[in-house]
Amino acid sequence: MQPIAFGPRVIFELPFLDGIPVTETVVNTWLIMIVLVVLSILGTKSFEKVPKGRQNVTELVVDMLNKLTIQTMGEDKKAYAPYMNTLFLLLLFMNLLGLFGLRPPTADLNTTMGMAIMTFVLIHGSGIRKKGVGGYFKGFAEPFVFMIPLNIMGELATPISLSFRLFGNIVGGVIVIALSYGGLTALGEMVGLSALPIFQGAIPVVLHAYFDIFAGVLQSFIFAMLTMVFVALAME
Amino acid sequence: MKRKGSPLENLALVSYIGIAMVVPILAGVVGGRWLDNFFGTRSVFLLILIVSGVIIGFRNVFAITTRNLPPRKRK
Repeated sequence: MQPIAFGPRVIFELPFLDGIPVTETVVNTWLIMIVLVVLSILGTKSFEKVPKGRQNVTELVVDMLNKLTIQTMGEDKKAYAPYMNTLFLLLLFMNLLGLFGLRPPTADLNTTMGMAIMTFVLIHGSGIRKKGVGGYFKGFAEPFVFMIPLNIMGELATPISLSFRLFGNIVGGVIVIALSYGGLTALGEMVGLSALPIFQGAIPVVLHAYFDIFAGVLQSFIFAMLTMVFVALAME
Repeated sequence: MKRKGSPLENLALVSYIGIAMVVPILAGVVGGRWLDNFFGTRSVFLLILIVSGVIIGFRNVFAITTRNLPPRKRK
């Protein structure tokens, strides 16, 4: 029996600098990017005054996400809506990729940490832009001056907790589902059903429903929501 | 301008409270052990960083939970 590896597999290597390994994570991320770009192009092609069909769906999705951003961040921060919508849709597609038997890119700490660092930069960039450099750094000295190192450390905890939470939820699902497929295949062979995949065809449906759909949608929503809340908080 | 925040927003924040408290403490443990190994001390840095991690964690929780109160009521 071969051991089950939980890390992302290396698909191919770029042929320079001694071979840069390109893992499943990167390949699947590009796949999702292609899907999202194609969907955006198809969805926004030939708009009419009275929406119908494809345009209706596009308007529904964009309108819903815009409203969510406005409701969370306030009417004056409407300009952040495109970024938040993209973030949410990208994370949603990434987390739901497990349903197609592919490895979700968010099951790799590099992906989630990269997104959390983007959120971190956005939080502090917006804070500096809104309050000016002096006013922004004065915020760290509140309520007392000796709180400065503690406040800075507290801010550094934000990207870590954001990325580890998403990564942990998704990779946990990936591992549990992979283990259950392995175990159910072995069970099927044991009772002589190796030609007929009854066990691994039916039982993991529940796990997919919980780990991929429920946890996946919830975690992408929470990530986008916390990004909105923190950016709005930094600008107040 | 103060907003009360939607239920969904508060749900996301509630799920953040626990992890916001744990992460600085764990970071203090890991960082303290690393510094102790680096400088060859026994557990000076571990203690200092755990205590500051606890303070930071509590400060995070305080900042999240009081963010919707008007500043006068925060004291």
